[in-house]
Amino acid sequence: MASRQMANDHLRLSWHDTQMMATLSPQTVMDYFCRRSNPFYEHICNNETIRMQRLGPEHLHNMIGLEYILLHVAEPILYVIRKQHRHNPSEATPIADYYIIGGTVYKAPDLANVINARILNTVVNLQSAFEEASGYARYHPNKGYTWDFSSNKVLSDKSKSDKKDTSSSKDENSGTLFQKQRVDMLLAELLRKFPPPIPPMLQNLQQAPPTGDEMSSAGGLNSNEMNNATGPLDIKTEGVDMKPPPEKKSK
Amino acid sequence: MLPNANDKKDRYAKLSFLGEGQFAIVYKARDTVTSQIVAVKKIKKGSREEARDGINRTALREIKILQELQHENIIGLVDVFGQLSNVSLVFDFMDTDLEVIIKDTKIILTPANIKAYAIMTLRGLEYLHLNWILHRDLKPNNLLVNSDGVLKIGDFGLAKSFGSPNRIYTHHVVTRWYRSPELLFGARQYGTGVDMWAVGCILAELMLRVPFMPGDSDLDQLTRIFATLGTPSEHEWPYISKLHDYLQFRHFPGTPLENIFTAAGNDLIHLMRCLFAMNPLRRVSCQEALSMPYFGNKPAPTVGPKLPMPSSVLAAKEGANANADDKPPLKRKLVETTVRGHSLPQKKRLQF
Amino acid sequence: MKNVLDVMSLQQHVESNKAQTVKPIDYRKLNKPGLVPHYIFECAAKLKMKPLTAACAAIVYHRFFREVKPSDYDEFLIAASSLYLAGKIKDDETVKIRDVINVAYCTLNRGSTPLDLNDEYWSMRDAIVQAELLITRTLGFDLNIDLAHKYLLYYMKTLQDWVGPEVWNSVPIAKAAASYLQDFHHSANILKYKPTHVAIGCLSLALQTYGVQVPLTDESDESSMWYKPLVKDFTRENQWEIIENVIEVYKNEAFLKAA
Repeated sequence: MASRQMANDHLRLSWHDTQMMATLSPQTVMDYFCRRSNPFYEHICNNETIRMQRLGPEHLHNMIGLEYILLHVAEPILYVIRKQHRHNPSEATPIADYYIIGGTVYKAPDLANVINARILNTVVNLQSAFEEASGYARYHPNKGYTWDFSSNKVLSDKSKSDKKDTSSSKDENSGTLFQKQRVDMLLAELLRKFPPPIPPMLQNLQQAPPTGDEMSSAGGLNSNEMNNATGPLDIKTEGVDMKPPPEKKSK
Repeated sequence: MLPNANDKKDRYAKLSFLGEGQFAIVYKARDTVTSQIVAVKKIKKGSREEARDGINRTALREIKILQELQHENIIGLVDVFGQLSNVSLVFDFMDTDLEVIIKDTKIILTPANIKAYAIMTLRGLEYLHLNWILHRDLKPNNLLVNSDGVLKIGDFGLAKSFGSPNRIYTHHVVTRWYRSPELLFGARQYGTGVDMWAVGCILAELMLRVPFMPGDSDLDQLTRIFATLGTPSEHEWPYISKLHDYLQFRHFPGTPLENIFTAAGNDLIHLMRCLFAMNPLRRVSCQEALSMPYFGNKPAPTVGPKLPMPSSVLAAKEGANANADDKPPLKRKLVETTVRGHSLPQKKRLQF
Repeated sequence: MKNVLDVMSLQQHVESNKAQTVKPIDYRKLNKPGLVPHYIFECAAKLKMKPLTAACAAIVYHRFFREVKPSDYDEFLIAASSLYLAGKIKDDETVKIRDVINVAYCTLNRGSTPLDLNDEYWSMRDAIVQAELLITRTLGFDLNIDLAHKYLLYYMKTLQDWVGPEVWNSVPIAKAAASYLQDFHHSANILKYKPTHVAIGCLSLALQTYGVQVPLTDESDESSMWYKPLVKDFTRENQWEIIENVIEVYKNEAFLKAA
């Protein structure tokens, strides 16, 4: 439990070492990462054992346990380091990835975190939309339920403090447009590669092509119509000229 | 064994020459009765003057002590026999020792390996101490390892029973790099702490692959110890100033162990700290050490057969296995020619 | 009547031995039982050997001659060699071969001066060294000799608490028991008994010499004897045998001195 919290905290952390960061190269980047002050680096790993015994990195393949390897280099600024658990010389299970941009180390979020973040975004926006909208609902025994948007009077002020907090914390995590588009594209590719399985009973109910286009936009999604939430969905990649969703929070 | 342990020399068929030390020559041999492979240590007659002194005292001590001991992690004395004016001791054959393993850069020592060696050493030492015997010469060279990955403490030439208040103890024991501070300060009485300090040094050497504190002289050794681990205060070690050859050293703060042994987990660092306690009375004992969390935590110690072996041992094993081929006898011949004659390649030297 | 110990005659022996002026024995001329062990202990005393080392030498000597025919070997040479070997076994640093040779030689040849480093010296030295190896091999390299002394010490400490300090301090039991033990090593029969039994036997004899009764024990009831909790398999038979052996040692010594 605590380690999961720590793993999630790592997503918000960044680290750098001012002296070494100026001279980073594919040869020195591993030494840079493997510093004790780096919170992402666990000192009880195979890399450290080899360093302590002053041996060359060729031994990494023959050991079992935690190891860090340089996964990808896009000089001059991007390095990707993978933390993985090695079972035998040919198999290793990745645990986490870290990327270094301009000398600063960040933890790359995994798929679960990305989806969680997106869903959280969606849900928060939906929730605030509903709360706002419910303020405009009117009831009169004669007329029944009506909407009154004209007066802009919100009858019940349901603003909760945590709503504000989550929205403000969402600020730090919302990335640039480029990042969003890229992530969308990656998600689409993943979906193509690994289509989610349809439970047998829902296959019969599935009729019209999926309507959940604008998953990432707020509002519009009528949950009553969508029974087959688990059906295959086409996520339309957002074009640049698409109207940006009505964001309540300021960027 | 009574009587006449005289006709034994034909029982052990010589296979190859293993090494030579100050007092003895060691051969690899096969017991023609049990087919067991053994190491025969023939005590050298020595010079004319020495020969006229009779049986070597060191050999006698070794015989006496090893005859009484029986433990998986203590070298077994299989037999003793006489041959003209020579005495020969027959031991279990051990393929290599920890010094060879440490120096072999092709071998990587994983935390699991280190734990395995530590456990075996401490188990053997615990048995020794329970039988009131101090080894007094622990070092990687004397921790023998066979091809099944079993470690056995060997070379009991300096061993002595302890506990009796009347005995005189010499403080010139233990190879300098593994010598504890009380010995360096000339203590005339000491106990199991001297062996435990040596175990700490050996553990450090397993982790660093080089001797931890290689001093050139007794004074240099003490300086190194205090510079690395910090000078002890009178509070930490009461009565230190009363030791026979005590000298005051300047105050060193020492380096925290976790900065030296960067890849070691907290449990191992804690064990090291207890082994390197300056005050011998506060130094941890074998029993206490073995019950520390380090030995219960993950990773588990490597099982015997999976422990790393130096390439020479593996080659020899392969040669022994492929007996039908023409090639292996050639391999064996090669080994013999290189070791015959002068002093051994470093890895085979046995110190006596 | 085995049960009646002739304590009086024993005391007489001890006193008479003390009273006699010490006349040096000529080992070469005599041939009586207990001669060579006596030689061993005399040399040991001259070498200022620790009692344990001397006892060890005696045991080594007896064990050797248990395996071989006495007539095949020079007993005095074996005795000297046993002394030297015992020094090594017991890690007694003070036993140096030059001293052993001189003491052995001078005790045998009364009145002569210590040997110079001449041929006779070297040949004697060689002989001792070779004998040492021979003894070791004859004993099958089994050099872990379990002496009775530590057991005696332990039993005496226990008994001291049982009988109480006034009784214990009133008579020299410890001294007597230790003397009997050391002297018993003169006899080869010591090998017949376990070291624990030897210790009890000597202690028991000391108690009887001074007429000390251990409280709450009953002579007639074997199971209530004081030694039962200490050594389970010791019987009254063992006790009498050992006592007889010790007395015999003193008898032999008297004959030696008388001759």
